[in-house]
Amino acid sequence: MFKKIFYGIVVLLAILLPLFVGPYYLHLMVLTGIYCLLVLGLNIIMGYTGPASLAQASFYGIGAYTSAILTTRLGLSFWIAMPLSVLLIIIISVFLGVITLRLVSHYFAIATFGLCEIIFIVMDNWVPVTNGPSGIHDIKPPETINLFPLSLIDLSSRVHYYYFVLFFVILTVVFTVYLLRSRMGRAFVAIREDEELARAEGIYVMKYKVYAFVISAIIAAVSGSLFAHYLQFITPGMFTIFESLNLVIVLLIGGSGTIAGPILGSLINVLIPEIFNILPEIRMVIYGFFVILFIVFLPEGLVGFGKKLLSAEFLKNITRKLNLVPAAD
Amino acid sequence: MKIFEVRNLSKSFGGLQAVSDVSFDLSQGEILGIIGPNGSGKTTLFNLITNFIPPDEGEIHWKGADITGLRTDIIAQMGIVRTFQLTRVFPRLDLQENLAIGHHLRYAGKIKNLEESISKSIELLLNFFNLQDRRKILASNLPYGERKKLAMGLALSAGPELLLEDEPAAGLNQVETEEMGNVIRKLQSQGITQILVDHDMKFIMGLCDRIICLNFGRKIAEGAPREIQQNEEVIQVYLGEQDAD
Repeated sequence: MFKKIFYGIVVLLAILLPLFVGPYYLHLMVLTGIYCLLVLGLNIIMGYTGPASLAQASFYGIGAYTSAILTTRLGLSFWIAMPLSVLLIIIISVFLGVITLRLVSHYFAIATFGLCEIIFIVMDNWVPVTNGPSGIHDIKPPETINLFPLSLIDLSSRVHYYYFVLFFVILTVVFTVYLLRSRMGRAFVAIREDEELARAEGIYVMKYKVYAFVISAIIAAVSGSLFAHYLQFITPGMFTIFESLNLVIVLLIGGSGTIAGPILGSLINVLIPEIFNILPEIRMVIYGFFVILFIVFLPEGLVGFGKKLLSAEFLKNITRKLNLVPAAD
Repeated sequence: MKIFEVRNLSKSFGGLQAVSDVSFDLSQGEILGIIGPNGSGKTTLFNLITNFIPPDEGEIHWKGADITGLRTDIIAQMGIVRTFQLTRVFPRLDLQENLAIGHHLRYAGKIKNLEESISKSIELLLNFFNLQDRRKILASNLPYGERKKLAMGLALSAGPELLLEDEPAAGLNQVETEEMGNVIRKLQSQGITQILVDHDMKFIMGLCDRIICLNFGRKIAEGAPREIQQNEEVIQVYLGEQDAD
């Protein structure tokens, strides 16, 4: 009950945001939104199914590059390019997933690490297609659709783009909620909690791991397209293993396996350096410190911590103050 | 025709022969007990039957079909479910969610009525084990006895026709052991075939129609509880069989 009100307020604030902030912070929020999508995607394979995937930034990059190449080199419309990049990512991630997901978690992480490096090398060196280290610079924002009322939307405007991204974020959150309640979602969670037990209960583990992997990749690819057409230039250096690692860290700090976690984590990821005026390098040191702290004391991240605070103590204080008899446990 | 047949099952790990040429069969609704000292291959046998570990040799037939080496989840789909010696549940989920996962195999489609019938099934299971008031408690927070009940409930959610129970009475006190015994009898009356592995002799002797004794991976005796209790080799293997405690 409280949850719904809380989320409602958050969504409302998000919708009203452009009224309150200037272009610079709006820009940050667009990037945060795109980042949030990435983390939500990672959450599905890592938070809900289990294995830590270090390939998320690669799928992000492939989505970005495919969309960019299809629009700048082949002159396709964004609205065709993005679905095509999703299609490509499905093919790639099914193939890669079937190969790597056989591996036990630590080896899977290493394998996805390797994948990430390989894909980076391809981006960096396949000059005729990707233009190598210089990247692609002439990406246009998505074309306006000539159909009323969609023709009112001008995605070269930062405000409009913000809502565009927000739309996808909300869509992904709603999707995640429904996924969790579905048979597939339950299978994911079962696999995370105890893979062998899941198997004994009749769950075809490999199949579901691949599904989770592919879903995460699709979300990453969509983020990639959104990113490419917002920033209007991309380079391979934006899609390295460090990005993948950063995503994993953000998910862990925010709260893996929750819905609020990725959102909170993304906000922290962007806002902390801004608020405290920290260099990106120092941010990594601080993150490292917090990750160790969190893994040891707060495995469920900030959101898990928040839940603990809210449940036990909050209730105790309230019942004490109002002189109510505590409910039977 | 016997509903379940195991023929010449063997498995070795490196030089160690864990299960050696074991054969037996079961009729529907029977309760078979498997006893033997620690390390005699009882749990390995369960692992082989459900293909958690593939057998080196031998065949397993269920309802006439050869299920040897099939994927574990498919074997579960065909009706054979097991529990684990070290009680396994889904730790960070509450009882209700645990049992919901257990019903994975029962989802045939996405009909609304299906969700309801699964909810009802979960209710029935909770009531069966007297856990209805504990449904929102996290599995990892359950006391041992309740966790064992949950593990049994998880196995039952999958709708098994053959249930392999690995030490269902381990660590339970007198009352809990009796309750578990009642559960097993009730399941038998519902037509479920069961194989029990346990060390509590009174428990096993009181429940099982037939008993097999393993030692060093070999079957050394088979028969009704009376016969097994008087079998010399069995007695020797246990160094003077423990009296009912």
